[in-house]
Amino acid sequence: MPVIHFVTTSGETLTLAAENGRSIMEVAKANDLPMLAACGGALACATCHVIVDPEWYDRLDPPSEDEEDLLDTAHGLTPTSRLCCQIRVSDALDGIRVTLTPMD
Amino acid sequence: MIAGGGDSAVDWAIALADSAAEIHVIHRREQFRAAPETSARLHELAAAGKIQLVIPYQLAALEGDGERLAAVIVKTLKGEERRIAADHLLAFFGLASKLGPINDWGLGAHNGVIPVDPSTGATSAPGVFAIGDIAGYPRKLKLILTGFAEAAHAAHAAYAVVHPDRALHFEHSTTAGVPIRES
Repeated sequence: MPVIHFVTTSGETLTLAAENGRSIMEVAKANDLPMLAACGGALACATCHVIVDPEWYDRLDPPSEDEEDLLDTAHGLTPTSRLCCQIRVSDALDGIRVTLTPMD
Repeated sequence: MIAGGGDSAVDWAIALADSAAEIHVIHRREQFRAAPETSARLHELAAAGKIQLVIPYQLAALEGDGERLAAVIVKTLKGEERRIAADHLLAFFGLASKLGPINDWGLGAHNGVIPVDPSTGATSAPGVFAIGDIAGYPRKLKLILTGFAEAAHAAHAAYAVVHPDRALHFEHSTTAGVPIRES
């Protein structure tokens, strides 16, 4: 099972096993990480905003136009910001590192 | 100064274009996700010099004397910085539920959600009910449909708290109609 490294806003790294096919947001919520994910993964908000480790960013499928529209509404955007409800776990992403953003 | 690229940001920029001495719209990319007509109007006003588009920039810092805004510092993702004098900043970002003081009501709020009994909306505090995005329980579906249903569940449960001596008979508005209150 692939693992995902989540870096919290306080700098702590949590490494979690993730089932292929889940979204990174679903993995975060299932493990009770501090993330709002207010819309539940329907691509209707930006509260699952994470910063993807630059080494991993280019290995992801690029964001859709709809995701870009919602990233417009996210605070503290960086060049490797993504909405993690749009990132599907796969073997190719084994070991990906994402940093959570503040909940408010 | 207006920050954002959605309908609210663009609508306000257009609405204020005639009354403000200067309007800057700061947005992180070329595309605006506002309705095509309003986007087109924004670009017309920009071409006419009524609105300054500050693209691709994001908010970085505010300057002021502690009471009044003096300037807004904006930055590109590459770190290029500009300082733009401004009297007001209107920020139009996002959708996020913020519980604010409700966090301190002792309802066990966690990650922005208050646990409730899904059949009644009852929180851990007697007589306090929660419905909609703020209310959580296992396998909740975040749908408007769900929110409406939760409202009906909570209203029925709350009726018994407000009117402990009155029976509440179940009805459908489609057959019983909607009660009209005499004013």
